[in-house]
Amino acid sequence: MKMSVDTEETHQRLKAAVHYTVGRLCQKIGEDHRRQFSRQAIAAIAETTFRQCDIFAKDLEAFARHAKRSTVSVDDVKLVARRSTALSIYIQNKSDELTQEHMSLKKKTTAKRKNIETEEESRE
Amino acid sequence: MAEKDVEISFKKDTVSQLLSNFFKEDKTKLSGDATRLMVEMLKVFVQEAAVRSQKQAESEDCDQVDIEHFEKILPQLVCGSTGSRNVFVLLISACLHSLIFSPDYR
Repeated sequence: MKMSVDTEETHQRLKAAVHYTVGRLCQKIGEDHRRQFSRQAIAAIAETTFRQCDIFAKDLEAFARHAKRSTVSVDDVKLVARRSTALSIYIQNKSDELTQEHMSLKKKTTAKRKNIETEEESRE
Repeated sequence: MAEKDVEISFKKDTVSQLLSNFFKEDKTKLSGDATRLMVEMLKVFVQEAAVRSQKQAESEDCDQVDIEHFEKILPQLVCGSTGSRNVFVLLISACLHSLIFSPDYR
């Protein structure tokens, strides 16, 4: 019984978090076009986003399982985005950015390590 | 004023909890990069919803974007190009009214 109260609580908390960010995004777009979003419109977009998350999550889980993985990867997200060309290009670019980031991070750490090594060598 | 420059987006932690909450199995996990991409996905989803609703309101010469504008663009938003989820959209649409206008909706 306690368990279900807890999950209900997280559910409401997450819903509130989604609602908050949706509100801010709508406000920003409203400002850009000099048109306000009504509270009901924001609530409706938030509710739809929340339900869309459910669909996304179930799809991601199914794709990962199909690839015999239990961890959802970047490739699964690309599959979710595949229906819309613009969206899948956008997600592909973002994913490329992330790999670039990882590459430069790796380079940095190896460069650091080399620096330390050369320092140590010069000390000796 | 500096806040204006900060890009509005979902928190990574929120998205990760949100998706994990909807997974059927407890053992399903999300990789860090996948979460970051999903943050982008959800942001794009909301922006699409907002911009399309705004355009709908504009075409009807309304000063405010209201729920009916959003409802009109909802089918294309959720279905994309295929109609396979049409039934689902109709369901959402029907549910939305009862949900949002019910007294216990906060």
